[in-house]
Amino acid sequence: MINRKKGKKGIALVEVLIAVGILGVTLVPIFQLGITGIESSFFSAREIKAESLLLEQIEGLRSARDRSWEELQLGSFYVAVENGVWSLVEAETGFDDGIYTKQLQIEEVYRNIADVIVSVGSSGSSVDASTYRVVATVSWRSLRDRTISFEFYLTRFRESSSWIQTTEADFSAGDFQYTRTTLVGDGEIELQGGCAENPQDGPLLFDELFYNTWVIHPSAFNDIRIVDETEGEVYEGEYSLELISFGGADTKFRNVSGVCTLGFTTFEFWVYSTAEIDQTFGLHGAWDQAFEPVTVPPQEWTFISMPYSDVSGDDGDNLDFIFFKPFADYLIGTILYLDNVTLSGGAGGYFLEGTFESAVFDAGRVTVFNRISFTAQELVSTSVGFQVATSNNPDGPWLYYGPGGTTVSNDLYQAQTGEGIWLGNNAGRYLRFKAYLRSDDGQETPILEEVIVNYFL
Amino acid sequence: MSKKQSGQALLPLLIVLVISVSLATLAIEMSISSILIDRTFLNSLVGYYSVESVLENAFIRWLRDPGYEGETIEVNGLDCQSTVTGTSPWLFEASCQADIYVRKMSAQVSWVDGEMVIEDFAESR
Repeated sequence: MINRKKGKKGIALVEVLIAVGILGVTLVPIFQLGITGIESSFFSAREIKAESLLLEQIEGLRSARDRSWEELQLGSFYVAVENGVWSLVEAETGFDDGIYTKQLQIEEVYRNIADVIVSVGSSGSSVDASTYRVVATVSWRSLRDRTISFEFYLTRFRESSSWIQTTEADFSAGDFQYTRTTLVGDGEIELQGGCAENPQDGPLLFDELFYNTWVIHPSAFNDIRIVDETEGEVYEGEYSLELISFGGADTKFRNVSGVCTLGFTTFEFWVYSTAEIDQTFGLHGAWDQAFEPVTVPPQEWTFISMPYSDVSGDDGDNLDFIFFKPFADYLIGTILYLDNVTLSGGAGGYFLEGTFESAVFDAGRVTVFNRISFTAQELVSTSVGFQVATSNNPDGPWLYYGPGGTTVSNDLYQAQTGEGIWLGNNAGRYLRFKAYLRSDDGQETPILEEVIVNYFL
Repeated sequence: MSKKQSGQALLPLLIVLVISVSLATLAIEMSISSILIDRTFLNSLVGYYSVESVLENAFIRWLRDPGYEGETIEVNGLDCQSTVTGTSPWLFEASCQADIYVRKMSAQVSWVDGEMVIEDFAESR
């Protein structure tokens, strides 16, 4: 009995010791787990705050963008409230408050010819001034430094407006080349010409004889005659046209029936002067046009080719006459022989191609132009296309580019619903467009009714 | 000590152990839950701003090219798509997938006198 009692007392102590031992072994990792959990919650709270700061940066940036695209610039920033609004503050390494560092990196975006975003500086790509890539980052200190970051794109899509050219007054402020305004509606542009019939004998005025009802003007019967090889100089065939009183007053032959001469771009003839020195005379094709000077060398057949507009002027009418006028230093007694007088570079009727350069549009500040669209009546044999020029100077220079980024005249914006203006030439304060109106056969003309250029305010 | 008294010292030990383990489990669970929520929130944020980027990109591309029908684009490593359908108005839709989450946005766009007019620009299901 005495021995058993002694033994029981020892067992209780052992149990306590075992219990303390087990507690010691198990509670330490359990407490460690608990502490880790609490620490983790603490770190998590910091992460949530970091995410909130990230959100604040992004929304602040978007707020600035919505106020004005011009507030965004390339570089490193953070956003802060200044004068009651979210503003970008430039900071190379962002803003550090001792725990958190927040930063917005604004970078250029490049697009290829198809307008797809490509990596910076990719071959054939252009900077898109209307899109930025933004990398938002928040870093903070914890047991180990942490960073959250992601990218997104910001665009200028909210600020677009348009410049519309549709009235006669709008168009009249531009420059015309073989085109003119009409008033079928409130103002349109079409090719010059519109002769009811094309010349029956083609573009010839004179070869072996007069064609297309061209005649010697009644007042010039003593001045002009048709001569053969035995009577004077002939370039080709048997006959030429002799301007025999050329030392005196004007001489002229006449388009007596008003046969269509429009639609051609060049007036050509061969000429022979009997003088022994260079002779300069002038010619024109309408009463109200200035004489275009022509100089020919002595006693040899010379080919003269001049733009139709130099002869016709820009009033868009048929040639009424061909006047030849001696200039001041012309030698009295000199005789001119003409041969193969003809028009070329077209088919008659409407001019095959004419252009219209718009008035200068002032956006008010340097901006970006997005889309050019238009409304036109285009027949099967006609077409309308555009090129666009931008500049920061109202006087240009005006270099017109098409969607392919070239200045060649077949690189044109041709979709009436609109096409994006080439990114390599879509920025500036001023803009002009150049419309190309074309007719395959000169029988019809396209009619341009309205042009709209979408741009950012 | 009677037979019933044997092991009494372990009883409080067990109680302490149970309470400790429960507290530790709770703390760990809260911690894991918190991490998961953070991660979900961040993924959600990334998805949201990515899909909005894609829609904005679609706006600017359509502004320049009315024939634009959408594209597949990668933002933040997410696969995103945009589509443009219909005419007057046009329906713009964009979506990005982040983990198991898909965020979508849509807008209706009209073209009035040469200007883009955006309506109903909102997140969609």
